[in-house]
Amino acid sequence: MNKQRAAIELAKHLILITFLMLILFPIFYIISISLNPIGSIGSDIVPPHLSLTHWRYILGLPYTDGVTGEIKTSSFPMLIWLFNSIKISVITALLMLFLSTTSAYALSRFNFKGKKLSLLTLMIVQMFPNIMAMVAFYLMLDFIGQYVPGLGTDTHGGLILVYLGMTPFNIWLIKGYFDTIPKSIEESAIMDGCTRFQAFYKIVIPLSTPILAVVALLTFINTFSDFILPSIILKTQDKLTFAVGIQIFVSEAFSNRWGQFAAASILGAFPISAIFLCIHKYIVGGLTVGGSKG
Amino acid sequence: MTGIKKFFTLFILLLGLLIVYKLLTQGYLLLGLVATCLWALTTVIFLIKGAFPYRFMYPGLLTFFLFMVIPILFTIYISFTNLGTGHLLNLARVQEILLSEKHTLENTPSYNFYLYPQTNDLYLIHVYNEDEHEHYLGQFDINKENKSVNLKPVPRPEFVNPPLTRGDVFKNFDSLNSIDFLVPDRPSVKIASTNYMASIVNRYEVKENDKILDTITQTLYWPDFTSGYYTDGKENIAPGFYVNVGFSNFLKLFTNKSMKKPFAKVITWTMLWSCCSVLLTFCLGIFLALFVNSKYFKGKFIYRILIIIPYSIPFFISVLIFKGLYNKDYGIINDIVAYFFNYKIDWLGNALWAKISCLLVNLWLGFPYMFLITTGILQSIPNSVYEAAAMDGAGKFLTFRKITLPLVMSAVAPLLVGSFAFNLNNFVGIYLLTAGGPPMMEASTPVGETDILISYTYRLAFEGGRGQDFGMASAIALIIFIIIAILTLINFKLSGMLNDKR
Repeated sequence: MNKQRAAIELAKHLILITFLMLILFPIFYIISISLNPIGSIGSDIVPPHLSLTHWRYILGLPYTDGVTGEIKTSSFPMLIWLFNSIKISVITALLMLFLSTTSAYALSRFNFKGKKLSLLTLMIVQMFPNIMAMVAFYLMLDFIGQYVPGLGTDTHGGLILVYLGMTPFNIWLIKGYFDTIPKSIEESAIMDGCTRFQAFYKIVIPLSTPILAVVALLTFINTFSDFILPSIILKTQDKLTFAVGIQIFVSEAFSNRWGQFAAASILGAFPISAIFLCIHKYIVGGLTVGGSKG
Repeated sequence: MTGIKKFFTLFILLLGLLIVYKLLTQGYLLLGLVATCLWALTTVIFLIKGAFPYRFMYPGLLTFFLFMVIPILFTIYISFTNLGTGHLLNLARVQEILLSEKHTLENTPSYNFYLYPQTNDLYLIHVYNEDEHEHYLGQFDINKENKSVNLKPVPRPEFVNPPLTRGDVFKNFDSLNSIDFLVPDRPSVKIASTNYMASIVNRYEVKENDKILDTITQTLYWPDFTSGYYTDGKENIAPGFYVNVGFSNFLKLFTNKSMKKPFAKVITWTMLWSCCSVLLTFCLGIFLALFVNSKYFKGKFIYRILIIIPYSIPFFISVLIFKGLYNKDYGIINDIVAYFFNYKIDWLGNALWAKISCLLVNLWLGFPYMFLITTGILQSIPNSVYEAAAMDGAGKFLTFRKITLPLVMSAVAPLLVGSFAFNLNNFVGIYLLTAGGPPMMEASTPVGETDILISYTYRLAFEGGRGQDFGMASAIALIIFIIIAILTLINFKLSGMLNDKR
């Protein structure tokens, strides 16, 4: 009986491992391609020998051209794209944190007219992803740009502005956490002469670091992964985000740039993937509140 | 501290006032009114003591209002206009452009000229005709607003200093070319280029009711508010202006011959795509969750991490990787297919295979999400429930069908609706893989067999080639809004959010 159970367990492990190998195959393949000196779209799974040519290419270092043998440097500013993406995502995440934390605090702690309506509106509107209003965003930024050049189309400022409209989901997430912190701590602090605002940022904020970190990282990941809005708003090559830049780069010549693309995609995916795997427990908790990765 | 805070508040309020003033004086009436209301609200919230809860609410709700609510309202407005290539400006701006259009009068004398700088920003202008028989001199201050400058006939003048170079003339061209130079007994002239002067007049004149008169042909044009052009009944003048076209964009989608069939196809595929995506990812997800979460299974943690790896990679990267794998001639998937069947599938070029490709990639991207949420729900079901079922003699399958599945379904239903809504707008999953292609043959707009509503919107508005049709794109966006609104309502019903009195 025990032997039979062990055999079943072993079979299950084998099935799952086979399944995982199938599922994760594209990832192994892309890692192998990035180290393959030829690295065209029809390359074998096992490279003839390992080479860092593609990695040198995307990092802007001199590399040896596979066909002519010349030593060149890439004309595509991959690292600038990556930097742009990180810059935009970090700024968006920080601003988003400020905007949604204060609103969430008000909704969690105060009773005021219009609170129920605000909660309901936030709940409904968070179902609508903002890309549906892409035409409006484009025209609005075009208009703003005539008066404030730093916030128009083809600027990072304009793109960040557009992202800042997505507060509802984060407000809900943070409010839910604030609700679990007992009010009595702040109340006693206020008795001792603390102002409301001091109680907020000296007591409540430090107590809710985990959820704030999750909101910031989630915003970072979603902003980094966004494709449609930057592709509409940004035009100049040096201003593109990683997502748009890499898409244009590989779509222009799919088979010739396959190896370089493989290296670049690992460079871009690894940090995001690592962050995600670290916080996935919290994300699922948050997702069950309502909404999905977007 | 409070001094700085007060100063800062005052500064922001004054800045707001300036913006409101600018908007109202520059003719943006509606926008100005919205800005005024916002400004008044801000003032009340920050200056009245009792309003301090709103002060906390304010920043988050302000950006939410400006960059979520207003864009949505604006999209609704655009969907009722013909805004797009050829109709990008409003009537006033189009009139301004037409009125600035100039033309040179025929059969009038033209001249050449030189500018000589004098002291104190004064300039002397020497004007002469081509055969150098006539010479005129005039003087003006370049920093003053000059409407007209009188020219005096003189004998051929001599100058000691060199004249301004053509480059220097060009630098001041904007202030120079508005001046009328009055030549005695001849038509007045204007500076037309850096060394040439001619009788230049405005081509159009404004008449009553925004009508304009073409001074060359003496035809009267009037603004036509159904087509969005200045017209004389036969001919339209470009550029057009945008006008309210009522439901015409929507009507076109449902009745126009070359639009309704592609649109019906797009909407069917959008629904099919979302349904299949949710169904496939959910089935695989719950199957894996049951598999990994069985009692005696070891190494759950490692397996869980490995399973969610596909979900952790940014979608745009995974989709582009799959685009390479699907390549018809060299892609590794076709290598494997050709090895077994000696046949190469046109994964992205054939309408049916392209749809299957999209679904397969989306299955790969999405099943870990379903795995994660169902795992969470399975773990929250108390063991006693299963024990009770076992006591009553229920078998494994019966327990699953009668206990596990109903419990999971009731918890997961709103999430499935959410996932449906997400896939409805899963732009990356379609556009980066197939770019909407392969193209539909019969369509008059850029649309392909795998286009979903959101990618169709994008292509109508931003894909070059056939011009931008913002009005139509917004109309489609509005249809998506309506679908999502219905889904939201269903979702609230499912999760009992509306009955919940909090």
